[in-house]
Amino acid sequence: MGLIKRLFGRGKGPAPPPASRHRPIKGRDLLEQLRNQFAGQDDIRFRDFELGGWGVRAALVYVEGLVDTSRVEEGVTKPLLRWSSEVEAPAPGVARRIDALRTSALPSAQTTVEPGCEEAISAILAGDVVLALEGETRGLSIANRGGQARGVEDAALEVTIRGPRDSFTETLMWNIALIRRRVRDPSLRIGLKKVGRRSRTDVALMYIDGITPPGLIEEIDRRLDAIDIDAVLDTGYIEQLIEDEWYSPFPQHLKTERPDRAVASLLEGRAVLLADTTPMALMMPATLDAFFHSPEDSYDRFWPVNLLRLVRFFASIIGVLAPGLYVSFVAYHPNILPTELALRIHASREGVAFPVVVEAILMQFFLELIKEAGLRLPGPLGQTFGIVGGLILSDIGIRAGLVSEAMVIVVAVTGISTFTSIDRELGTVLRLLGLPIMLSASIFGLYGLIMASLFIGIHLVTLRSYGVPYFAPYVYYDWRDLRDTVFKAPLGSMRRRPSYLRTEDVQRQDSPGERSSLKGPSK
Amino acid sequence: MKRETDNDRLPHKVIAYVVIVVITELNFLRLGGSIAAVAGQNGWLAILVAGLGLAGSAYIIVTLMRMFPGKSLVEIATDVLGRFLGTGVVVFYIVYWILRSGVIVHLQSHLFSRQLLPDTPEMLLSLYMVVLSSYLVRHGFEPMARLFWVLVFVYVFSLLPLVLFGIGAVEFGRLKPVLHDGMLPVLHGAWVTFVAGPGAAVLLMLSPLFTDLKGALRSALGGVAWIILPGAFLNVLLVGHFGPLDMAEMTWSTMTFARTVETPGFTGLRLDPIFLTSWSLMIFGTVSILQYAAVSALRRLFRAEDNLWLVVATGASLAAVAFVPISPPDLVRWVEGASEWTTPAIIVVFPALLLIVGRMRAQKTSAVKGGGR
Repeated sequence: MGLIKRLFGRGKGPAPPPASRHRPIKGRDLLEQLRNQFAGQDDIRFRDFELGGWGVRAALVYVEGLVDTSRVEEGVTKPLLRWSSEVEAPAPGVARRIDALRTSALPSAQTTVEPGCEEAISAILAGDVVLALEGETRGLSIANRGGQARGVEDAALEVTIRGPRDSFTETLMWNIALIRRRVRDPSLRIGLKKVGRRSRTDVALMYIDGITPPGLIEEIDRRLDAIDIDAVLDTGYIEQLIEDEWYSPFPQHLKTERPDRAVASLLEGRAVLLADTTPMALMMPATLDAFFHSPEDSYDRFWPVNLLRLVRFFASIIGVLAPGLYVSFVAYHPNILPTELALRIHASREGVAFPVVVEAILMQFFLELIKEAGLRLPGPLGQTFGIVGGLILSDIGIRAGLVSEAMVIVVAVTGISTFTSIDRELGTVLRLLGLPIMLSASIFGLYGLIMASLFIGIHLVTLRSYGVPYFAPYVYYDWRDLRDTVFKAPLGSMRRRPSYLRTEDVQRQDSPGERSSLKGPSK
Repeated sequence: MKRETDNDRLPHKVIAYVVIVVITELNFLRLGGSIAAVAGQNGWLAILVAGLGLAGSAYIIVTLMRMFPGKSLVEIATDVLGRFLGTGVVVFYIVYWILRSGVIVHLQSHLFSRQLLPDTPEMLLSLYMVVLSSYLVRHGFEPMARLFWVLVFVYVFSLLPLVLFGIGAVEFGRLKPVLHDGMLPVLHGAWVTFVAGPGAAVLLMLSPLFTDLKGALRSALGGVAWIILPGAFLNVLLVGHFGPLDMAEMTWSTMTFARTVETPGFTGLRLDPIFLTSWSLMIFGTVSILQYAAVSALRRLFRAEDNLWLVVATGASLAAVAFVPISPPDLVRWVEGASEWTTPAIIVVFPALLLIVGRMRAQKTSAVKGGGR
């Protein structure tokens, strides 16, 4: 009943506020508390020393590997010791000591006063250095992150021929900088949050103030705040926890590893979510149409783009419907096919041991098997295995009477079609959806095919991503939105942002009258 | 942003999509024979004349919608006719919509069974459509409006191949002489056409969902034109292909036309399974909007918060009607007989009655207010 309610019902209610699950930390002062907390953790370094003039024991606490140790020595330890030996001790009092250290001893460092042990631990685990003094409950965190990180490299998944090549990395601040570099607009807003009780992953919500509707940002914030999980290891975790409909097979967030695509989304009026330790950004709200747009589409002129988009759309339709169509034609309506073709298919099925639907399922299974095995093997080996495995399996399958030649062609076309998808996940979903359509077609023929497709269509028109219809703009909204769908109009004619995103600033370009001045003075 | 049913207010152009989807139903498949039986080769004229009648009924309905903005049939009827009588009228509409959609499901299942799936039980075909319709109706009208936008393309692209591939096989001489028996057969044919299209009444349940009704009449008339003009053209093709006498004998004349049309360049490629399959989407649209109208009326009548059980109940009733063991020719005859009085009642008499009584009451109220000053 619960499942039925969720399928037909009102969606999830807000999650209860996350309760703190940490036990209180024992200790008289911050230093002791930190020692107790990190006891037995060998990667946590305590660099003990005494502040000379003050006669106070202190320690710099940090995680080895997350900070640049030599910079800590040169930039923090030495200046501290030098300064403390030269000045007289202030009267006891946390505020004065900490403030004196902050303003006088480390004037050039980026420092923050941490009010308690919890905050100090967070700072240490995030890669900062924390200075803790004996007898004091507050600490001073010094930004000195310098762990090992992968540099900016070419995009691995969203490969394009034209356009920038850089892609996001696992370092959040670098990723933010990659976006900042492209949008030098003070209206670009970046809200940082920590998500995950134990991982305390930094998450950045980015949007352009004055374009993105404030309601969308409030909604994303609300959903992020409702997350109560121990760790977030990738944006995939967040995606699954904040999506509108958990049961829908369709991805409800756009994903990218390319900063240019993320920026294009921001400029359209979407929000972008980045998380530390993951190179994949989420963009929301998502519409089905946007999954078929490659970043390259914006760089090329509209004629070639239209051809490629059309290919992608048709490929997706083929990917979903081809097995079902084949099954219904062969099993129920061979008379629809041209006689020659019907005879050839009939001849190719001679001696096949299984009904056509079993044959189709078997072949689809082979395809997934080869794909999955190819992915797990190292690069060149995987490619070779894919080709050789495919050839051998289909050849032996035909000889053994397990599958027909026609079915091999149908499944190969299906597989290739779904691989044209810009979004890897959507490609897999399309192959997955082909299965119920095929089963329905195997029972009801073309009627089953159309009804199962209708079911998917109904699901699509009922689906929303952050209040935006998933099927937009193929509805009754502004016709101008159709300029960037299956067909793309020339860039100059796309003067407005998509109306279905309900942006605040709708205009992207000037009116044609103002643009005509580009053509030069009239005679 | 929680999911709600009927959470969006819609632009008036949706009215055109609804009118197209709700009137086409099975009419494009079966009505040709009935029109030819009474109007002969002048069927296309009869359809055009019927278009005037449908436009008139659309005018009455839209005027009523404008007179009571933000109110559906349930509120209008109970306000104008009183609680008892108004509820009676609403119940009549609900029963009609459920029966009509059940009959459409029954006939389309029979058609599929006869044409494409002779071994499949009709009940299963009906059940499949009813379940899908209930699933869609459960989510409210807003997703339906989006689906209907797609269905308008299905409508166009289903008819287009018939026209393109069929026009070569048409003998236009069969359409002559025009009006050889005077206007009476044409008017009879127009009446047959008019009573086959009672769908526009569902607009009375959609009224509160529209942002404004200023362009509603234009959209409604546009929708009627989009049915009448292609319908008349299709009739020309059918009569030109079969001749009026042969066509009058056919129950599913368009399907027969699609079967005999062969695509040039291919031998044995028949269009009828593809045409019927794509047309089943239009039929689905009609069924779902009729079920939605019934659910919406029940919901307002009972002031129900949620429509889940109403969807289940109407779906079950619809399926029960679709499962009635009756032969399709008998059912068609029964439906045509009943439509002679139900359709005028549904799309003309009751809306006009509500309009006239509503106006009289409004005048009376304003007179009382004027006297009080």
